[in-house]
Amino acid sequence: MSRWWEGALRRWGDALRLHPEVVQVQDDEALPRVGEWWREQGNWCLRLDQQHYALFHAEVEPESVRQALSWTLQLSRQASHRSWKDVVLNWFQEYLTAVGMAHEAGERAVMTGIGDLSALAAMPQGYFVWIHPIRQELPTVESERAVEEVVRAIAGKGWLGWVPPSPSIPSYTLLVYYSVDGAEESVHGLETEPNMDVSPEYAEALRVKEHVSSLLTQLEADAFYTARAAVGCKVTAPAEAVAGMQTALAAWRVQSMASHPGRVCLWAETPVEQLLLQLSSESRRTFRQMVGLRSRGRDIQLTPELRETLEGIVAANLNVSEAARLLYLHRNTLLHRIERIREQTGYDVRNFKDAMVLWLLQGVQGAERPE
Amino acid sequence: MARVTLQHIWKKYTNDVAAVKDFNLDIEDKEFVVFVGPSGCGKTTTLRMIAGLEDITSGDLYIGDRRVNDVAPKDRDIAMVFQNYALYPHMSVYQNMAFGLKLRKVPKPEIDQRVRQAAKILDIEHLLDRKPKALSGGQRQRVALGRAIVREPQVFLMDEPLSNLDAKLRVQMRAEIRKLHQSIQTTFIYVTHDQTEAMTMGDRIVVMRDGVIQQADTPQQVYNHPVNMFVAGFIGSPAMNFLRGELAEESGSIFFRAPEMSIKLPKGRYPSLRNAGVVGKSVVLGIRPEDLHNDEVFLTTYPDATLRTNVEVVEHMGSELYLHVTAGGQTLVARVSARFDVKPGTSLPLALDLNKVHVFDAETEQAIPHAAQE
Ligand SMILES: Nc1ncnc2c1ncn2[C@@H]1O[C@H](COP(=O)(O)OP(=O)(O)OP(=O)(O)O)[C@@H](O)[C@H]1O
Ligand SMILES: [Mg+2]
Repeated sequence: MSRWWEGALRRWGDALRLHPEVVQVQDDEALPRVGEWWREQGNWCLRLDQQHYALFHAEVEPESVRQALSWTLQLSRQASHRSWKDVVLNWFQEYLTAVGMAHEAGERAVMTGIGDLSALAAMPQGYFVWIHPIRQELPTVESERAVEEVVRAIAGKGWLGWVPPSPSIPSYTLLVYYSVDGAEESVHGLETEPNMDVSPEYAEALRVKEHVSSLLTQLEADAFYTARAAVGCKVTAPAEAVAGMQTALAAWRVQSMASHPGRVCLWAETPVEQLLLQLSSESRRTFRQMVGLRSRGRDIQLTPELRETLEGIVAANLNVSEAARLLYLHRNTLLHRIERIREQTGYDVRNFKDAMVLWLLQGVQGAERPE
Repeated sequence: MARVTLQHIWKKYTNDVAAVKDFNLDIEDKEFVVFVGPSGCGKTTTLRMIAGLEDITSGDLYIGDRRVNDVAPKDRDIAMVFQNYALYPHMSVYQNMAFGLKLRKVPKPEIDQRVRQAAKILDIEHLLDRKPKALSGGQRQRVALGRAIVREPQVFLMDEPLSNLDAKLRVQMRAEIRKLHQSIQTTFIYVTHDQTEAMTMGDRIVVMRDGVIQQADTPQQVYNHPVNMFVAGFIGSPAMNFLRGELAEESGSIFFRAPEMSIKLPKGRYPSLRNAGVVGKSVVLGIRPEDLHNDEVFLTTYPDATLRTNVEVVEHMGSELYLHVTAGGQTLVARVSARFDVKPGTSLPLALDLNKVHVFDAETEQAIPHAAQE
């Protein structure tokens, strides 16, 4: 009898030219749990089930490849022996664990369906959305219920659940899987013209963003719940779900980094920030050192005031008069601040390259700041 | 009683920039107050602090006699209408209006009674079974108001509720909201960046800039007696003209002097001008476009207050002309009757209505009050 993991393992092996050896183990051997990786004499190993693990003779790098491999295996296991609805609910748990949001027993997030899901034959396409409160206080049972009612009333189809604080998101957060299959009927007053200049996929993401933004308004008006939201990439197949949740988390990180965050952060709108978040700490350090070479003080740390000035100038496309207007400053005050930035850093933010370097530096520093 | 009192309210989002600074205002029960000011001046922030959606950094907020700084928004007895007047697409108008009450577990018969009453006030009884999709923009806006009315709050908070509507509907809805205020007799706090909306709707308008209240008064008072150049320039369209020059005293008369301009100010203003110590100093003379006149009567009555101007552009506005003119290197706009045939490129004498002239200290930008006001 073939094992449930064989197909997936073979496909991955072929795609990545990894040809693992499957090793038999005794049940009582003290090995990491199913789905976990470890090193054995310089080789990567992955526990497949109680009796087997895979031993890779080639490198399996980077970590995201290993993670992806273990989760695809997990998914194919569940798909093999459960009804799809149970599978979906269980997936959420697995996804949460995959993105580092595992919780103590009894504190697990429970996802419940939104709308009539009985007609669905498979997991619908959609987006993961983290809805996190702006204030830290725990929602009461009553307000939790009101929040859920509002989400249900708007979202059409999907799932929602409360996720207790974790190292990834340190507040009590609402996770919504926002299905786009059931969302043709948009919230009224928000039907936007289709944007001809971007791809249909991107236009859809922008519509979802708008939809989520109106959800936030409703949450305030009806549930008195003030929140921000982070939207991940589109999930078109179960295998993309982890990526969908991970990108939503990445959008959340960008949002919590920003000094004046918007209410909805769409992952697709943050390529530069994502790039900065992925840099290794060595490359970040090198970048900071190189940027600092021009500055007398070496390590550039703008005060919040000068940071705001920089952001204003970038937002105004380096147009000083426009920036002065955006920042509600007199032109001379702004020029004075620009001069201060130049004195402190050696960079003149009226110059595109200089402004870009300082702007990237803010991002690099933001990516380093602990949450 | 639904007085709303703000005492020394501050809001800081970050440590060093304040979005709202030392905001003091006493809003009477049943008053219709409008917050108005340019984008970013802190209107929304102030409204959200009243609603409890934003923490107050310091200061005291009272609704009625209760200090509500630490009262949860849902317990403040307020209702809000936002710019995105989103309705729930899958629900009927009735259900949309009942939704908030259902969340609060209001008994069904009472919900029914309140929804029907609100529908009657708003004249949307015949729409109760429709879905939002089948409504016009104005009807949707009315439903959004209905959702707030059914709560029977002590205070209504509205943040630019009309900005999604087209111009014509907006004018119509302004009147509707005023009417609504009259019929339900509750305190309204209304936010807009549109000065016309503020002028036409508020019992009192609060002009804000950069997180600071500039002036809080009736529309007439704000229009006729702006306290500083910002308010003077912000309220009124086209905006008030500002002429830079200085005040000079000669044989007992005070003149405004600027290149190619010499205007003798009326005697009644002298005490306050002297008092303010601006005689001999740089000042800004403010004059609204409608207070510049080109008809014979004015030109002959005020020979000492006539400017020789060159007409640069003539804008036809139906019954009126907006004349963009220059005088002594400064530019002005005059609003005159369309029965005059004015051509660009010609010269034109314009008389200032001296009773309507404003004088500002050029340095502080503060208005020197009319004697009558003191
Ligand atoms: N969440 C926030 N975090 C940081 N700063 C904020 C936040 N919200 C608003 N601000 C800042 O506070 C100031 C006041 O903003 P607010 O939204 O109250 O202005 P507004 O008068 O309502 O403007 P508009 O007419 O554009 O709606 C602005 O400088 C704005 O950038
Ligand atoms: Mg606003």
